[in-house]
Amino acid sequence: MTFLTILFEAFMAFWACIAFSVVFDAPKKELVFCGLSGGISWFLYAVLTLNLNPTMATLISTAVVATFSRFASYHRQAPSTLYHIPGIMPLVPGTMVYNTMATALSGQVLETYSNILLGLKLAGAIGAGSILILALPYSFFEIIPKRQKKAKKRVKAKARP
Amino acid sequence: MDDNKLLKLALDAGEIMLSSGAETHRVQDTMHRILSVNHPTGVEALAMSTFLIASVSSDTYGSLSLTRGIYNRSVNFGKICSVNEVSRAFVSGQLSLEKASMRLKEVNEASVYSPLTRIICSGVACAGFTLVLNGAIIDALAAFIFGLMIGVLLKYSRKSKLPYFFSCMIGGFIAGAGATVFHKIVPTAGVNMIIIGSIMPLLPGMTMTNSIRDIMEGHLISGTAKMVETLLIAFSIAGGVGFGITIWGS
Repeated sequence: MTFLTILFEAFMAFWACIAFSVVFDAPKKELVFCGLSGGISWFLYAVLTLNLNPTMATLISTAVVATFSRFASYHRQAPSTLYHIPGIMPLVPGTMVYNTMATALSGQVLETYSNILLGLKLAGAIGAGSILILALPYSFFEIIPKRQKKAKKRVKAKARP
Repeated sequence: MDDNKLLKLALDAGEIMLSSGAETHRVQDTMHRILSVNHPTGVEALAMSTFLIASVSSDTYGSLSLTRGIYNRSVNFGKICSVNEVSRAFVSGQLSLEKASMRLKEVNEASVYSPLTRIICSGVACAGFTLVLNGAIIDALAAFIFGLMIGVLLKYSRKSKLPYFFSCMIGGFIAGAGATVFHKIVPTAGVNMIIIGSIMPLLPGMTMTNSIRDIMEGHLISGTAKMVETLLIAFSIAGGVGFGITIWGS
């Protein structure tokens, strides 16, 4: 049952991230990949939070999304930011922004501070998770492309006759 | 190749990229590549979060340097991608200097989607994120409506010269006030989920990630500046939400 819920949420994250990328003018042919990165990130986050604390789960899923965006960037010849930001969007601590406000309004000082701290922790986890992968040199992500080049040649060879 | 025009091209490319939310490293790299077409050495391209500097030691003119202030910042993936393509084509020699600057002008004015599509997608994104964060279907419906309103707001705030945090504040107010009113009409709806979903398009996710990336890559000034911007936007959203809740709350 939980697995089904997680799948449904990941599916919704896929569509939400596509809509989000449309709001920020992503090119039409890249939309599916933007959505995929969002779906992957939420799926991983939801699965990991079953056992880990949110900060660790955020760190790992951001790192995976960053890896995905680097590979996608190499294959699709577009900046990696395009795939990276929609993927991070479900993990951005918007909940903390709201919770901080709500607790501050009702005068719960300790909860306010703990929410601010948790928000900063999540933000730091997102930053650290992305930089771990994005700081790697470009050549590191050229491992797989050999296959892609062959595939391109095959397509060309098929197309010529 | 005219060095003045080359500098102008580099700054145009940098300006479009920086005002559409590209990270400092990418902007500097693009400008550096464009300038290096004519000058293998002695090129310097700097990008801060609010201004650009490019300088070149030219054979005909001596030392040349241009600066440009960047006054509007938004998020636009399409422009980053197309500037990237143009600069790549220019560096590899497929585009001439004049054609490249023409293309950059076109890129700056073009937009991929019609305003209506964008507004509807803003609503869909809000509803989707509400469902992702475990909201009920009625919450998603409410978030869809407020998302549409925030989409309209974002569209008009791009054109008008409002302070950049003002639209976030109004958006937060729409989400907060709308959610409390909706909760009074439909008592089963949860206020938290509606608000969290509706403020999603306003959240400074890109600025936050870029600021941390910039700091870790050593661009300390732009990183800290962006971090301040992130905090300001987050606090203005929270302020708007709080204002909206307290007006109709209790």
